[in-house]
Order: sequence, then structure tokens, then C-alpha cells
Amino acid sequence: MMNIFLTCTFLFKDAKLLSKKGGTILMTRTKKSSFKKTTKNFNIWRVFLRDCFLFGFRSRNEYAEIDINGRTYDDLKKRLEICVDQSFFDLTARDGKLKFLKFKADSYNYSYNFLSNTFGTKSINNNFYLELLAIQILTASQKPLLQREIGEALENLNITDFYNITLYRSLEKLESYGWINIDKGTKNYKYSVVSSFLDNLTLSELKELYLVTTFYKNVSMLTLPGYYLMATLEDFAYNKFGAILKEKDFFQFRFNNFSRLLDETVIYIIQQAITNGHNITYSTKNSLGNIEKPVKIITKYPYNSQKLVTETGKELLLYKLNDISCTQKEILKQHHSKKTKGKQCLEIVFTFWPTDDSREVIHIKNRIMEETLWMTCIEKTENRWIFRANVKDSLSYVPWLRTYHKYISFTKNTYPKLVKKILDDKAEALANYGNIF
Amino acid sequence: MEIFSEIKNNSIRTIIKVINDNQLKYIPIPKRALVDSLRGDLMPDASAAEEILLDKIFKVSEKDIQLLEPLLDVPFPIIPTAIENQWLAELLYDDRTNGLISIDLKDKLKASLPNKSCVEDIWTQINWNNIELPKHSYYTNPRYIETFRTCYRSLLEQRQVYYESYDEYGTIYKGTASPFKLEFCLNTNSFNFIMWNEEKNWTFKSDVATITNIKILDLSIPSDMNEKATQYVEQQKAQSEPIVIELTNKNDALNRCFMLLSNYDKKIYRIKNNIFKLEIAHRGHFDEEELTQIILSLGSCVTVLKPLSYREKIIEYIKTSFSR
Repeated sequence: MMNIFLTCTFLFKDAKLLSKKGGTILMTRTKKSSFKKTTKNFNIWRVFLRDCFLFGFRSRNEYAEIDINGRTYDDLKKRLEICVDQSFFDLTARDGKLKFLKFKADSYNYSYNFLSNTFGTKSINNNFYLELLAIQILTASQKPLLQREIGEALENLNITDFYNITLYRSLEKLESYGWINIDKGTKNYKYSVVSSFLDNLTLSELKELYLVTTFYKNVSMLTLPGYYLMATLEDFAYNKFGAILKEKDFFQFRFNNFSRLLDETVIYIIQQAITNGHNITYSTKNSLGNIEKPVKIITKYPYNSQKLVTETGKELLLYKLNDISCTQKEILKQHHSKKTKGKQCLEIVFTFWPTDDSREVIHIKNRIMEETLWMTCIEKTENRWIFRANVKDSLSYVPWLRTYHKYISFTKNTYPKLVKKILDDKAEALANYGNIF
Repeated sequence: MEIFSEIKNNSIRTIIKVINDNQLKYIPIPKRALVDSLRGDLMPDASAAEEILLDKIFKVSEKDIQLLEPLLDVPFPIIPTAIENQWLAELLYDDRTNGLISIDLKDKLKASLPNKSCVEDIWTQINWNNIELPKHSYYTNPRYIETFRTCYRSLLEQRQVYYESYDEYGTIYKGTASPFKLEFCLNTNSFNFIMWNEEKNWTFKSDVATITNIKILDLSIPSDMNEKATQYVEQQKAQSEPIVIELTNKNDALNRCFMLLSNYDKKIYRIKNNIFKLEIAHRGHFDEEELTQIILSLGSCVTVLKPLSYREKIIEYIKTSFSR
């Protein structure tokens, strides 16, 4: 019986003895939780967060529509609850059953982008302690050290279970953070901690820098480094001066779509590639291993949508790109998009009638003057302004044109398909309201 | 370094803080408390990697074996990473920050971070009519910068201001007010200064570029001003009937609509697979023009259901559009 018991133990991993009943041994396999509060890869996390923030209408089962099954949803939701304060999101029930996860988004109340906390979930590997100890050892040292000397210092602390190559890689990581210098001048590299400009700042200067950081972090191309710097300044001020820096609540932003931050793993790589003259590889839902040469990132307001323009003329929405990295591989086949010159004529007429509200007219005219700088004004009287431009894709202007409602119309020179699209859509809109155009 | 990096892991930041707090004041900590600070409320225990980290970075206190202290009695240096330095360089060369940071400090930091940001060459911001956002020349105009700095200083010092400004209709405003907020609009790339009028009990805003005169007075703002102004703004939301729309997802309208409305609190109902109902909370006249533009821009994809008066207004706009 004992032999059978031992055999059973070996057969069942993580087995747990439940009870011994009448000579029969009951065992059960303990289940290891699949949940991890960290992740190596931001991709699925990003898809989930974007959907929660922007949409928030999917129930747990409906996340399968974006390839997130129920079990994954549970894990991601739990991770969210750990890293983002629950005051920033709601879990609302509907029909007594279904539950929907939705972020709060009111820009009057929040200028702090709580999505920045989700970037604190990168997995750490088992050797990470070497980075932390190495920089402490270098900080304590009065002079640059060889790797051998750092290794000896670790051994003196009874830390011996690491390979030299692992320590070497840890030191390289510290250099990539910008925290240590590596003097490669001699045969053996020498390592030292960098000096920081923060050491030369007074407390007053630190406070001034902190405040401008709290503003700028919401308007820069990459916003996440601003949040990182804010935390660094807070920690530095506390350690050096005992001062507590706290974000003021008097900055407010309009059209600040927080989900823009979720594209920053992609934007950062693109920025590196453009700066260094490299290509990028990326995957999308439908294709892997694409290679392109990035040229520019465009953020389009008021949508806050972001896209990459490539050398071949492609425009790629950033939220659809995954697994992106820099590469020096050449693009095998260059498929340049047709670089058509703007051939579609957009000739718009703004008309103002005496019966129009005078204040509304002033406001509309001010808007027009700001928003048509890119067009040629071909007529401007008190009651009639005409602007013209030749564009590649006139249909992309439709949303903007609609915002001028009764004040705008077209001349006969305007691209006919544009006019038809707008008028057909107008008829459809009115039909939706029960009116016939 | 990647932007999604282990060094910014929440647990690592906590550990660094514990190490440095011990430098300021020797505070050995029970292992359970240390683990609790890493795992958060919803985790049963620290992860395997965190356990290894704690074992290596901390040791049992000589004074009390129930407690842990950092293995090394050395502070962990607080140094901005290369990514943070790069970002700071972008800030220093962006004219929009001219009013928020003194020239002296800017020059001092630029000397430490000599590499000029190349973000301007990489990043273009456009408005939906496909022009680049205006790079307002007034961000380098000394008079504008001075006005801006006064507005900003009044907020920092929490003191009332005397102001003179005008609006786009030519109306001139002047008086005394308490500074409330500094608003930046990413769509127009401009600053608004929001103030509280104690007499009229409301907030109002002026584009900083339209403020012709502003002086900080030797008067503190009333102690309850912020609360009153915040309540006033929240009341606008409570008193405004939500705008209810029906959205049909065609031509990627779902994505466009939700991107446009991302800054509004809303309730969302899925009626059918591709049809949604949204109840959008807004603050009356503060938001109405913006919301109207958003709704009109979406064309036949959106139908306003309520309030009835607003629905009639939108119908009228659509009826009369493109017909002159």
C-alpha cells in the first residue's frame, strides 16, 4: 500500500492528500492559478485596455469578438484592478446579469492619465536583483569598477549563484537605462554611475520643473516618459530635500484622449527607427513580419487617432500594429502607393444671410479663417466666401464639412462624388429622423 | 531601454522606495508587510520573481530576526532614465512651455541635456480638415509670455487678479476674479485661463491671447473658491439632460464616434450587433458647441433621440445644410 501511495505521489504533480479513508487514499491535483499580475508582452493588455477605455460596452463573453476569451478577460480584469485605482472605473450591471467594465473619462475631473499605471506591469526575470545590487555597489564605490570587482562585491554578500554573462547583461541593461557609464577604452570595461543634472537643482528649481512636467506630460508625443519623470522628481525631492511634490489640480485639458498613451510602445520604436534611419518590422491581425521604412507619425484631432506614414506612402493606424521592432533588414519589394497629386477639386462656398444670428455668423467666420488657411480664397465679400483646394481624397473632409451645416455649400467645380456622398448621406440622416429630404 | 520596462515595474519602484526610506530612517520591516506592499490586495502572495528579489535584496535584521532590512546600506540612486532625459529635451525646446518655466532654468537644463529633440521632425499634429495645427507665433511673443506667466503665477500663489480681455464678438470684459484653472485645448493648440467670478457665482474662460491686461492683486482667493467653482462646474453636468444618441456602426463610425467622445462620461447600450445607444453626460453651454460639431460630423451614423429640443435643433442644422 505504501508503494502504491508513493507511486501515486510521483504520478500526480502538485498532488495534495485529501484524506485517508478506510485504507483508500484520496488525492487531488492542486490547480496553480494562471493569473499573473505582470506580463512580458504588452499586446493583449493593450487591446483590452483600449477597448475598456474607449468602448466599455462589452460584457465578459463579448470580449471574444476581439479575441479575448473569458479566462483571459478574468485575468486582465484582475490585473487592472491591481494596478489602477478602482475609483477610475466602474463595473456596471445591466439586465440584472451582464456586467460591463468601463473607465471613467470625464476630462474636467481627470488630467492624470491613470492608464500610465498599467505600464508598471512588466515581468521581471529571476536575475533582476543583479541590476539593483550592481548599481548600489557602484554607488558605494568611489571609483569606476571592473565587472570582476562587482562580482567580488556580490560574493562578499554571499551572492554567488549567477553567471558572469548574466552580470554582464545586467550591467548592459543599466547602461541602456542611462544610469551607468561603461568605459570601453581599455581591455576590461569599467563601470560607474552617471552624474545626474538633478543634483545641481535647488528645491525651488525642482518644484518648477515638476510643475511644467505635470503639464507637458499630457501634450507631448510620448506622454509616458513624462509620467516616469514625474515619479523620478517626486522620489528625488523626497530623498534629497524631504519635500513632497504633488500634482496641482489646476491644469485641465480638452481633447486629451487617454488611450493615446496605449500606442506608445509602438511610437517609441518608430521614433528610434526614424532617428537611426532604420526600418521597422511589425505584425497586424492579418499579417506577420511586415517591413516598412517609417517617415512620420501623425496625430489627428479631434479624434486623437494616430497613424504612421511610411516611405512607400502607406498610412497605418498605430493601434493595429503589434510586435514592432527596429530592423536593418531591407524591404524586399517596394510597393509605392500611387502618389497622386490632389486632383479632386474642393470648392466650398460660405454664405451668410441677413436673417442669420449675427453672433453665430461672427463665430463661424472666425472658425473659417482659422480652418481654411490651407485653401485658396477666391472670393470674399461680406456675405459670400469661396475657398478652393485640390485634394487627393475629398471624402476625408466630409466630417469637417458637415460641421458648417447651413453656412456651407459647393460650387459646380467641386468633385461630383463628394457632393453626391454628402447629399445622399444628408437624405439618409433626415430619413432617420422621419423627415423626407 | 524599452518604454515598457522592468525598471518601471510597480514592485521594483516599491522596493527602491523601501531601500531609500531606510537610508533616511532605519526602519526594518516584517517580511509579510514587505510582501503585502508588493502584491496588492488581490494577490495571495508575491510572485516567484518577487520572492527571489526579496531574498537577494533584503536580509534578516541583526537586531530582530522577525524583520528585514536592505542587504546593502547604500541608497539606490534616483536618476532619470535615458527616455526621461530625451522627453525632457522635447519639453525644453517646445515653445508652449515658455510661460511655464523660467528662461534661466530652461538654459540650465539645456546645458545638461544638449541633444535637441527631433520630435518636431517626426511628429505632425493635424486638425480634421487635414491642416497642421497652428503653431501660434505668440508662444514666442514676449507680451504673451508675460501675460501667461501672470495667469500661471496667480494660480500658484492663489491670489486674485484684475483682468481686461475681449471676446471674438468684440465685447470687452474687465474686473476682478479668482484664478481657477489653466486649460489647454489640444485641438486648437491654445491656452484658456478659467476664472471664478465671485459676484456672479460662475466660472468663465478667456483665451490667454485675448487678455490685454492682467495684474495679480494683493488679495488671496476666498478659501472656499475652489470648492464653489468645482461645484458650479459639476452642477452644469447635473442640470444638463444627457444627450441620447443612436449610433449605427457603418464606415468605421463606432471607432470615430467613441474616439471623439472619449472625454465624456457616457452610458452605452448595445441594441443590436451594430447599433448602440449612448447617453452622454455634458455640461450645458460649456460643451454644447463641441458636441454639436461631433454629432454633425458623424452624419447619418448618428441620430439624436433626446432631449427633444436638441434633436429639433440638429434636424434643422441637417435640413439646411448644403442648401444655400
